[in-house]
Amino acid sequence: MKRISAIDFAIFLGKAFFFLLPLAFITATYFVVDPFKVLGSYEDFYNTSPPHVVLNRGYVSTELYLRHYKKYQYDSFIFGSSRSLAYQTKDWQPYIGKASPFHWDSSGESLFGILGALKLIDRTGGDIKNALLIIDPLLLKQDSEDERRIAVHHPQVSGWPWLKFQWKFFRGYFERGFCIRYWDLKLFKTERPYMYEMVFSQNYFFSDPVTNDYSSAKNEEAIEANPKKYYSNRKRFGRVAHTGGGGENEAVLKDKQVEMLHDIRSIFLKKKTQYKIVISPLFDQKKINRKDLKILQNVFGERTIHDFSGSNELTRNIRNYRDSGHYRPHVARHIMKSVYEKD
Amino acid sequence: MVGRYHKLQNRWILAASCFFYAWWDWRFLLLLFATIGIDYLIARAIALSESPGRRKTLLSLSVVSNLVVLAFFKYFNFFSDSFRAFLEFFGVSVQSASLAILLPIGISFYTFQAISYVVDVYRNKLKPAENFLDYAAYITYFPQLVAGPIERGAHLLPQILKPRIIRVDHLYTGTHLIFWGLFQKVFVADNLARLVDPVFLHPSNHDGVTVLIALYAFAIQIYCDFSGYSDIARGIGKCMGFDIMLNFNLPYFSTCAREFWQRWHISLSTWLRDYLYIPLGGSHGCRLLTFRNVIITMLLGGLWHGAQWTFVLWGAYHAILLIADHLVGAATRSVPPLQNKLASRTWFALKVIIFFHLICAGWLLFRATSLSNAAELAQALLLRFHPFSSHQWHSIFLPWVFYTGIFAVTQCYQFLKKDLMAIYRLPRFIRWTYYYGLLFAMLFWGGLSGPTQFIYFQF
Repeated sequence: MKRISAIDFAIFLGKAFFFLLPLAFITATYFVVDPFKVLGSYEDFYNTSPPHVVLNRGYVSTELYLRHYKKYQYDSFIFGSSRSLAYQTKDWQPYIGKASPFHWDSSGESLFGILGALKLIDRTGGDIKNALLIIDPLLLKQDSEDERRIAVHHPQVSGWPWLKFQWKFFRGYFERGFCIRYWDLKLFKTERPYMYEMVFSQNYFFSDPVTNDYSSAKNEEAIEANPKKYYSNRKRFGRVAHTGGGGENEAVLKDKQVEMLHDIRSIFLKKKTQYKIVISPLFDQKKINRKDLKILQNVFGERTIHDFSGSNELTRNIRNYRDSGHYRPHVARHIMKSVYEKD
Repeated sequence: MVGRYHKLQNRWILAASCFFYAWWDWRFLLLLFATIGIDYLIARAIALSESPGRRKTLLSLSVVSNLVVLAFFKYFNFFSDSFRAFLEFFGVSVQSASLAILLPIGISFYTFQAISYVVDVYRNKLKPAENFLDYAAYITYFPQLVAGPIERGAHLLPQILKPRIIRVDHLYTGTHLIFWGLFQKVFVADNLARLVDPVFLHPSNHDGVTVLIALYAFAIQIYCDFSGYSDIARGIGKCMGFDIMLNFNLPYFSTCAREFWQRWHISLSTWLRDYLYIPLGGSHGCRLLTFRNVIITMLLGGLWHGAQWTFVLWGAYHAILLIADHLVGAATRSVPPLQNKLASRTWFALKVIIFFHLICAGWLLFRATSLSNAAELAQALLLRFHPFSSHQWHSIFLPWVFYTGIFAVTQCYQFLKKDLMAIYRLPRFIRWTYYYGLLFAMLFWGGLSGPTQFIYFQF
């Protein structure tokens, strides 16, 4: 057989190009629909038509802050993971007086993320008059960037290169059939069980485009409508034991985290921040580790740490939870009242 | 044009290969070149020498220097820990002498390649490379540098020395191989890894049926992982005008251990045959000597895979299979083959299935992280095997079928057609549909979920 000629090679390249055309088309759809809403900044991240993909809350928080901090002059912040979603700025407002609050939550939040957010606020010249940190052992344990798509922080917070961050989401579009699930729902508008894991169409939440308060009204409605049915759902409550007297969590604070705690405190001191730190009442009823609590008290002062972990009136009542990982807004209101009325 | 610039191409290939290797860790490039330099000089010295004694001394020097480097980087901690455990068994307490050594990627492969080169020169089967850079290009040729196939000098070196001709069909068959290799790795192996890993990590949490399916899944995973890499290497080679040797030839259609090793990791099994088994005496002595040679070869073959007792046991297990094969073969030599076509095919299928299960039993040892892990897995298989009362395995069974389906059908088709390129020869419409199937499977259910290392990189 003869040696390859330039024409043969051109034909080969043409075929390869033709073969890869559908791939190029699918890739283009990612940039058109921006399913994870990370390609641009949105006035309202949640005011869109279905399918409603679970968004990266850290990105939403950061983008909303960057978009509005000059206009609204935010000066008070609630920080935490999705467990902080129960806290609403409108409930917090009475305790902080005349302030412009903003809820800066991030899924799977860590000290790394909170510190990054504080540094960003500092870089942008923002005030931090008040801060409410909602923490738990899981948040304290994580000492570096959580690279899951839902949890990875905005590059301005994490310091990641923009392309690395974008690549994570671009990859996600093709992962485990996400693209098929997404377009199936978008085109045929029929929810199918295989979609729920990724294309969250059923439990649709939204957040306030100014304060970034997150509403779980649908869950609250479902609980009110039929509590018995709601609380018998094993998927929501079966994963973590709620047996009472859950003992004590393992110690999670190591040198790296302690250093970050000191950095957080330094920023608070620099900004003359009135801050409170709430240790969440978790479904497993486990008490925060004594050593960790001591470290927190040593760094921030005993009066600022408010420990609601362990078996207590909040954690014993299953109706205080919307699922085994998250408590409900009335619990957050109770905690804020207790924390601020102490002073 | 290709011919005219072939020397320049060789330099370019060498530079690209060095860049490829240095991307992982440039420091080990120095080690690689030290090995290359020593073997290059020794091979030339052997070729120039006419004294048998001197030739033998030079050969020993090369083999020992290669094995010392391999032993230090790959086996130091293994031997040190084993020795310590041995002493502790007799109540002698010693301090651990383990070193924090990084295993140079591909060291097992290029060391064997280098040894085969020097031995072939010593045996006068191959003329040594005159140009150091040509020899370096042969050892470092990037598609096969880190995970084989372990190329022989007699096969690859002449292809480097002579101008290469790239034909149209090279491009198409090469691309086909690259694509098929990618599919095996990205869709089959990486997805099966997600099913297999949790079961092998915590066998006590799983029932016997789940462990069995995980074992089947691992059998396919390791095959696709390694064969996928080999196909990609061969495909890249083809597109560059090289013919890299076939490393896998439908091994799971084997009916006995001997056949399996003629089809599985062919470049290693033929290496062990030519440079270890035959020099030990092969099958030329009495039966006991043959068995001894099989055992030594397979134990070392097992150890080649990793510095762990589970690999040694895996090698021993295959030695037993080969010996059993030898004995059964000898006992049934006089039995006439089945005349009835259906009966003959059924008997063949049955032998394939039985032997596949024997191979899977070996994979249990291979995949286990330790001997206790292997024992736990065996315990689950033997004591908690309740297919009708347990439903735990449902969660792993369907994904296993999903991720294995296309691959299994392809392999059956290749086997029935007795042609590894059978898909490539399908009518254009069917072939393109098939390629699109692979592309979308990779795109939507594979690969991009993050880089996963090839299993054989660790060897």
